Amino acid sequence: MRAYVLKRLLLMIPTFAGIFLVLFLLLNLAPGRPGGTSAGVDLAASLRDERGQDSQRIFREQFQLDRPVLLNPYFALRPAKVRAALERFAQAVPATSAERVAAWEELEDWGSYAVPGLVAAMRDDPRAAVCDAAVLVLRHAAQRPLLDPFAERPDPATAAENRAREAENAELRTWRYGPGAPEPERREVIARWSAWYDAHASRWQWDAWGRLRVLLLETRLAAYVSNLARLDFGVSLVTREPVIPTLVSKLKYSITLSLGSLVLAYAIAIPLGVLSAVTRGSSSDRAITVGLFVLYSLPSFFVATLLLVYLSQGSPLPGLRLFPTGGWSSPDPLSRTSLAELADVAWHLVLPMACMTYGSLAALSRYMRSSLLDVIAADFVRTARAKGVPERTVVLHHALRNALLPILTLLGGLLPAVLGGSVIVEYVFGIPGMGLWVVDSIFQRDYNVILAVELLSTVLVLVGTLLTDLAYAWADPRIRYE
Amino acid sequence: MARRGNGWPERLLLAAILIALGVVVFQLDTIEQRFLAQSRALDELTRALERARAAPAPGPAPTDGGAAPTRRWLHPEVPNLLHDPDYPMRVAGAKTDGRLVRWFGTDPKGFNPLLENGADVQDGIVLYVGAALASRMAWTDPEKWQKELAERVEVTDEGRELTIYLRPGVRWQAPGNLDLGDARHAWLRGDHFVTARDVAFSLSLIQNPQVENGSLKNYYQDLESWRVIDDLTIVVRWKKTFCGAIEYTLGVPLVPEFFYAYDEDGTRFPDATLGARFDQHWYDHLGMVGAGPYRLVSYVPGTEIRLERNEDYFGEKPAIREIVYQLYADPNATLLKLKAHELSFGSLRPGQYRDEIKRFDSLPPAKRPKQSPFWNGDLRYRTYLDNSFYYIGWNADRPLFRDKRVRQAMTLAFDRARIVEHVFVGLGEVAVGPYDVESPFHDPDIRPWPYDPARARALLAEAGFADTDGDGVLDADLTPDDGDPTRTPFEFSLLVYNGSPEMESAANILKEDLLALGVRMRIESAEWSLMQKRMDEKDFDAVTGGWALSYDPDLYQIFHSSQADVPKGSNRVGFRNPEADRLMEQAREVCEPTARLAILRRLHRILHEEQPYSFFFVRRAVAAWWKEVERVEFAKLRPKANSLPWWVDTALPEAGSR
Amino acid sequence: MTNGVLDALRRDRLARFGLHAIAGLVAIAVAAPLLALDQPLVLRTRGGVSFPFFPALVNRLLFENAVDLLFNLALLAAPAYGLGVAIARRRGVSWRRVAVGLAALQVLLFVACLPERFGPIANPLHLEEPIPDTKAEIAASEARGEPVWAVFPLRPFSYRETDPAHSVEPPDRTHWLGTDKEGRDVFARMVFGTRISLTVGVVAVSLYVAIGVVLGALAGWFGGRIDLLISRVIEVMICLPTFFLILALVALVEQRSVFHVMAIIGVTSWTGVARLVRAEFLRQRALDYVQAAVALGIPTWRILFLHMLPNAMGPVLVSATFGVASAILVESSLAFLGLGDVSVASWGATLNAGRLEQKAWLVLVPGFAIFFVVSVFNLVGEGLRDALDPRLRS
Repeated sequence: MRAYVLKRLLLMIPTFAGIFLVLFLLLNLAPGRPGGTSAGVDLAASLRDERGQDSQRIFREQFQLDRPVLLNPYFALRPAKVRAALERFAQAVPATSAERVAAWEELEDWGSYAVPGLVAAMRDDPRAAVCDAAVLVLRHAAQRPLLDPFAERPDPATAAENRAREAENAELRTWRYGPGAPEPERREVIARWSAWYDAHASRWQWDAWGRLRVLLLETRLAAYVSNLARLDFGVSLVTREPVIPTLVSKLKYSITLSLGSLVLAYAIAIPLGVLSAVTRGSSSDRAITVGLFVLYSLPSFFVATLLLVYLSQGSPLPGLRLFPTGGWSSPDPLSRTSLAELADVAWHLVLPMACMTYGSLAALSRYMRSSLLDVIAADFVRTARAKGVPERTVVLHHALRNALLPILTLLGGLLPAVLGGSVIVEYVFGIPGMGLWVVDSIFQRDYNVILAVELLSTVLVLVGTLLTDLAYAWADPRIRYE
Repeated sequence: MARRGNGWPERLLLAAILIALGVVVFQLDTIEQRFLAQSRALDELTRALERARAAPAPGPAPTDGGAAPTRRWLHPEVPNLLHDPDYPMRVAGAKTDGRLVRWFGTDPKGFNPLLENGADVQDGIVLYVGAALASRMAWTDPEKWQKELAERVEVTDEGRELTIYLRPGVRWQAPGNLDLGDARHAWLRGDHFVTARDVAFSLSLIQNPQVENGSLKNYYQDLESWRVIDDLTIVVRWKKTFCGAIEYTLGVPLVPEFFYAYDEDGTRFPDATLGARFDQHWYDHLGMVGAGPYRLVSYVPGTEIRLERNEDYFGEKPAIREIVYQLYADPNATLLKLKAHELSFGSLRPGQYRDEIKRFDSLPPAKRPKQSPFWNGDLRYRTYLDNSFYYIGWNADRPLFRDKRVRQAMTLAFDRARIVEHVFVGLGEVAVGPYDVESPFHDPDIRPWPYDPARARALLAEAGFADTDGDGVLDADLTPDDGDPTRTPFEFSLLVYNGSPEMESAANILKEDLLALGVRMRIESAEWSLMQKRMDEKDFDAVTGGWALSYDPDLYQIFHSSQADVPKGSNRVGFRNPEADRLMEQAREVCEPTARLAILRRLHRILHEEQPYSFFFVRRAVAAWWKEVERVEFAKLRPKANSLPWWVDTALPEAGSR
Repeated sequence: MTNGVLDALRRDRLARFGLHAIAGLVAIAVAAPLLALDQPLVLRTRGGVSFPFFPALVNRLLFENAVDLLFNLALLAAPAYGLGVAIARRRGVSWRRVAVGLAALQVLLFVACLPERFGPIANPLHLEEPIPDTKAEIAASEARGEPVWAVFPLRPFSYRETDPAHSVEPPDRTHWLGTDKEGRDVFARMVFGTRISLTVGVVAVSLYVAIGVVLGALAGWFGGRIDLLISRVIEVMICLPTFFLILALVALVEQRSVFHVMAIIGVTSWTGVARLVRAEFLRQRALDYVQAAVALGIPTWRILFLHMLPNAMGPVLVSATFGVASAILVESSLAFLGLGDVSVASWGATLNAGRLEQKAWLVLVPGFAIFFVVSVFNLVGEGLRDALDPRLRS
């Protein structure tokens, strides 16, 4: 038994790694970038001036979005490639504006790795436009990111380094010239960049180890894994709030709702299943079957809206104004006692729970029915019957206990849904739960939130499955794991 | 396992335990009730004390009002730009302790007025909690500026320099939603006055590259410098004459330095990382500190945000004491919550307006449904123009839409009037240009392009389109950027934002109308981040969108040719017109009203003729409110449903009270 | 599936009803243009007699979607198919052969119709030409006082035809089920939506049954490392909530169509089938008949897919019928989240529009249609389960 548990625990490692990789790649390769707004009508011009571009670059650096996803080959970036992008950006070769934007994004992606190429282009490209573009890009690319900028109490060494870096960055930001600047000013700025590069060229020279380090470690994956190893799930890319506290606050809603509806589903489905198994083939069995399928096949967004419109306080029928119009609890929760608050929340949850429950009734009661039929056909039940035990006792005491086991193992499979919540029910009923949060995060490409939620739910599911298996073995003496 | 109980002793014990448990729960509940009653009494007391403290200061200059007469103006010869407010916020007879319950949306990304540019936070929170240096006179004459934190502004050096004199003795609000009794927050207690250094702090944050607010930074590109003269005086200088200078200088979102430059326990952020730390300020998800008419007192994520009147406010205090925002995602729920009287003010969607109101509007009163709250006097409503317009933009960088005749034909084939009339239930007006239709810049003589498929067909033929290969789709010789003319069929895709059912309907209708002309349009619906990416990369043929422009719009960003090639620029459609460019440049520098009007009207004509966008419609919002909300007046500027002059009759039942 | 099972299925009244209903749905899907299209079957004007209905069926401007093309071809070829079936029956060819042959023919026709050209030759089956506005023509002729005679399909509306002036109108004599926000005929959209829903259900489920059966069979048969690996993959898929995966994948696709939705449902939902098949193969591997087959030297793939699989297919088929139902529901939920394909007339999209407009006819009709399809497939699934149950067969 112990060996079995140990083996299962070890097997969890590759599974977890697999899930992590799938998720990480899925998210990072999805089109679109985080940092945009979610507003439908864009209310502010999103054009970015130089300072805006700086702040965009800093945002990307802070969240390591400036690095490649899996492997970082940019240490081998050829100057010719950088120059080609510059040419397109500066329209030194014919380029459509889409190509210009693409060239700009390429340069943005290369970030500081493009500096040698940029300097080379600045120094010896005969075309003034390319040269000017190189200076423009250098201004962003040459700046160095601050170390741990959000540290509550930076240690003196980091603080000093950050002061030095910020001073250098501020200086570098001024090394520029506007369009149509006089030639001497131009030449002076270029000379300054040139000298600066010569002084710091070692930053772009790596030995073999350095290259390997860049290749493997200066990537988004490495950055995320190293944070993960410290159990740091980061902050949301959209709200800048630490992910874990928000996640914990959302758990309250989702777990209550899902566990509640799960319990409700079992409480209703098991008796129904038993009834239809006992009366197999009769009209009541058929009625239950059809009735449950009716429920199963109604989309929940449709039912949710219907319930809200007719059974809430805003109902057109005064007699049916039974429930609130959504939300988690009534306003001003602090003015109620805990007991009153509990009652209030329960009152708010009746409709959403009903919505989350009705759909799973069909499957659960069907399982119950067939599982009970299996057991009833078994020898020991036949023996009991033959002994003259009343049918009622046979079903409820002998058969039901054994038939319940497979139903309970289904719980393991339902676990992911418990944590995931239900997007649709949360949306329609205005409950700020996990499902809605994750969906919004998917739309806003909020990688940190999605990863944190899904990784934690994975761990819970893996552990949960193991526990159900063990519980099953404990309950059913015929099962032995080696 | 389930052996029968051995008899009554166990059962009795069980019953006893259950009863005991019940008694304990009941006792705890009673204790809690008393405790709550006490804390409520304490709250009342605090409020009464606050009122008493605020009462003895009738005028705008409280404690150190002695400073005012001795103030020296740097440019006494220049007239004050600012006027005294001329619109009363509180009318005689208004009850002053009402509560207004409205919808907010979902949880805001944060409350920091410098970082959040979403309409929800700006219109719902910053408008009430923040105070600007000065504001446009939103209820009477938006051309003029009225005093807020600043009492005098001198504009000198051809509009390049603004000298701003702050009102003395204005206190920053105490941060709400925070336990100030906690020793950790002891450093926050006491009075903090609004000074010129706070203005300088805010400006420096906008210029700080570590602060991630690209769209705001953009407005301050041409800001040259600022100089703090004394506690209450600051001089702001711009690089060149720029008509937006007044708007952007006086409208700068202000944040107090004493608060936003510090850690939760009162340590100042290191200078090198100030911007980054400000970006993730510890208070951003708790509330906002301003000097405006309301204080943000509590925020329960996913449930509600509460604002309470700032009894310390320097100006005329609003009549409504408390504004409660409900947080929920589904805008359709508003109608239900209004009917249930959980909200006291809300907006309806077009379909709801049609079903609840418009259907019965033309009927005689006797035939209107008596039980409907809209017709029994419980709910009142009004529609108002929202001053944001929707459009379909044609990517002029694509050979297909380079010719203005093609773009005109697209507009002619777009049955805007009937879509607005029937599909959007008449809630809107066909747009003819980018300006606020109620502003003077809008030229009423310009008529919208009609729906005229025949003319569209003729224009397309004129532009060289004909169905030469008989496949039902028009084609023409078009020259791509790199290459020779090729026979190209008129096929394109329209990028539609998937969160806007209105635009999706319009696109579906346009698609069929275009097919009848022999133009094949595909609809691609995309969520926002994808849409943003496609627009940034100019990877689209046509795109739907909307702009909400300020009162005096600067069209430079969205239509100037220089912005077409800026990476991620807002001239996404690649509109290039030399005359329009010149006019937009002039509009930035010519601030004299008549000359400016002429420039902007000429620009309007060009945009109408060129159709870089098919301007679609200006939305009409439907506001509905319960009868206890009185004097519901709408401002002339966005956000129009600004509740400052309203009041709530507390003699009637309030929303959300149970 | 053995004939005994089929007979058992036929004996079950609910299941029999389900089978008939599915056949009816397929018939509606195939005959959709006969039920609603704006092109007359026969049109006689002064200019002569024409049949605009038939070329319209393969007009790619009118029927943009490949799903519609597939069904339209089936409709056009239906008489030929009927003839073929009649001849085959007379010659005593088995039902199974006839069905396979017809399906192959249909697929061939469909594939032939898809490309625009075959090398230098234009595809005669790929029709792109202006869609005649016959209704306007008729109106014009009538206005001129000329005799016009036209036979329209049951309802003379196409599912695409928009009319902003008649937005959201309740059912009446012209529009039997009312109109939607764009003024399109809801009856036509429902009829054509049958095609989308059936295709989504069947294609998505076939895809995931195929994936699940292959992986499950491999894991169950070979065991050891392969089993370990496949089991890990299954575990990975199970740990990720399916709806989340679908959302993430849908967001990943830039230009999504209804086919992406099918594919995504397919690649995310196969774990159940794989586990079923794996368990069944693990069990059967030890059975005598399998050991005998191995001893006889029958190739592994034959043992796997021809001998063992049919015995394992029962539970898979049951779960597949449930799967069809749930795929249809997922499609409508995606429409609710604004992630559907806006260019197809899916039931989910209509239902969601109805929810937004809060109109009974826009909600109840597609709601009932979804309910009907889902129930019908589930009834057949139920019947199948009972029919496969050895205890009931005895």
